[in-house]
Amino acid sequence: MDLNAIAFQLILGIASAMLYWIVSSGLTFTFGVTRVLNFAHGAFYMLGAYFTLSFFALTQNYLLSLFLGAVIVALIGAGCERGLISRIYGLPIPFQLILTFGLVLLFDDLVRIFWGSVPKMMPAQFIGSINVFGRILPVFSLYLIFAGVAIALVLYFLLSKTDWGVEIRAITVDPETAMCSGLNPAFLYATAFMFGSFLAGLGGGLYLPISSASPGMGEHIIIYAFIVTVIGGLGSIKGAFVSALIIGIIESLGALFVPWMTIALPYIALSAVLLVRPEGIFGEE
Amino acid sequence: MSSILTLSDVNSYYGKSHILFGISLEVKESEVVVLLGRNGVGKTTTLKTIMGLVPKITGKILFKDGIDLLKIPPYKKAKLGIGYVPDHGGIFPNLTVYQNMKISIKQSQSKSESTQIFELKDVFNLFPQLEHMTNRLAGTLSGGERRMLGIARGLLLNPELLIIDEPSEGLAPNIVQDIIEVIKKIRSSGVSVLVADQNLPFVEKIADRVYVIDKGEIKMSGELSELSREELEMFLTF
Repeated sequence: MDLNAIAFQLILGIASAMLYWIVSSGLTFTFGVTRVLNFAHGAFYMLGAYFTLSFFALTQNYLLSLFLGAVIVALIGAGCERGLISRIYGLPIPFQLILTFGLVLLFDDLVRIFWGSVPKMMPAQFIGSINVFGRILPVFSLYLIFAGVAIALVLYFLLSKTDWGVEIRAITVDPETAMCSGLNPAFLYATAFMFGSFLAGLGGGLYLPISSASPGMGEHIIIYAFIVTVIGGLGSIKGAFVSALIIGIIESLGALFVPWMTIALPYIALSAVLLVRPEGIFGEE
Repeated sequence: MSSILTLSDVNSYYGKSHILFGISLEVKESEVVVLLGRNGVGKTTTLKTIMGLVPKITGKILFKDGIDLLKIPPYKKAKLGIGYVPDHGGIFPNLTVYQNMKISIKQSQSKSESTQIFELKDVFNLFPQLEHMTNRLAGTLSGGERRMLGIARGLLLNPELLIIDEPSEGLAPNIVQDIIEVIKKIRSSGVSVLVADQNLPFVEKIADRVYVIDKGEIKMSGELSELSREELEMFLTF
């Protein structure tokens, strides 16, 4: 086997991993703080793609549209948290799944009403390519890797160096003590959900230059986000990063070595981790 | 001395379980009151009831000059002037010692300067050990250090009433002695303290008054010297 081909596939795998990471970081962050398994995270990803498209039509500036799209999704997420999700904190998981799946159906239909059912593409962006290991690599793959690493660093900074991040970590580990220390749980849960939704929206916008936006696109990514989140350990940001890399790389190398079973590889990895370490690589028992 | 906390005919419930039955007690300014009883008789539930951490509560809980604590959510009680150190320590193990303390410092910054009795340097005077471990993760501290950090966090809220659950539980005798000295210093600074504990020798060294609780009811109360030692021991043995 050509080593250059393996190295090239590794880069592609890391680029895919960064998209999985960006989406699943929001999902696992939200779960870590609120203990709600949010199926609607995929719908927020879809909304991020559509809002980015609409803002791009207005501004012709992709980065600005990406940011504005994610901000609008964050506000929608905060509205959902205050109006609906906050009412099911502490209830059994089936309540969470029914409510958040209901949101998925609602947002899918709203997208059909406002943007139509036909998949929408963004005008070509980042169409350049570079030669890596004798092969043509889309330059957007490098942007994705950069975005993923940048988001990891921002998350690290927010959670370890800001008062908000420290308070989020406090209420995550002991809500009662946090409340008795004067921390307002409603504010922290709402802002955490908002931030998780922002990351989902960002993921949707980042996906646009390599694919199209369509109603229901969130259902595909949410399955991958759940695989990444469960392998990494529910609620573990570090776990989501490592797990996204694992999934992205085995998918990419799988396409090279065992192309007939590439689709099954993430599920095989998930089963293997659940058998050996049910709480996930960085999860707590 | 005026009253800082008054419970009148307080009942608490977890679901259909009735846990506290008509609890009435009072903590006055600058005194140490101990809620004394065995494990599982309702001490922690009483403290959690005061903090509003129990799902259903009836009766009256008043703070200072008539503030109805039942109408105030738990997170607002810290700013109101109530510090709470739960029985598991009241620390965040995933944060550093300093980050733990900073959460309390931030809450008390909004208070007027006259109520800022405890600043970081005062807390380090009380607990010199903590000063050398500010960058350590709180989860790596020993049981005694965790207890000290929990009390330090409570003090940095600059409360008028500090509630401490089982401060002597599971600690070595020398650490218990340190905790006794700290509680005496807290009282002398003018802060009222409500402690729940079952260690009679410890309680004898700190309590101005005690309430003996059993099966969710107050059975006896008064200064320790007024109460029969035999009866006290009967309530503390299984």
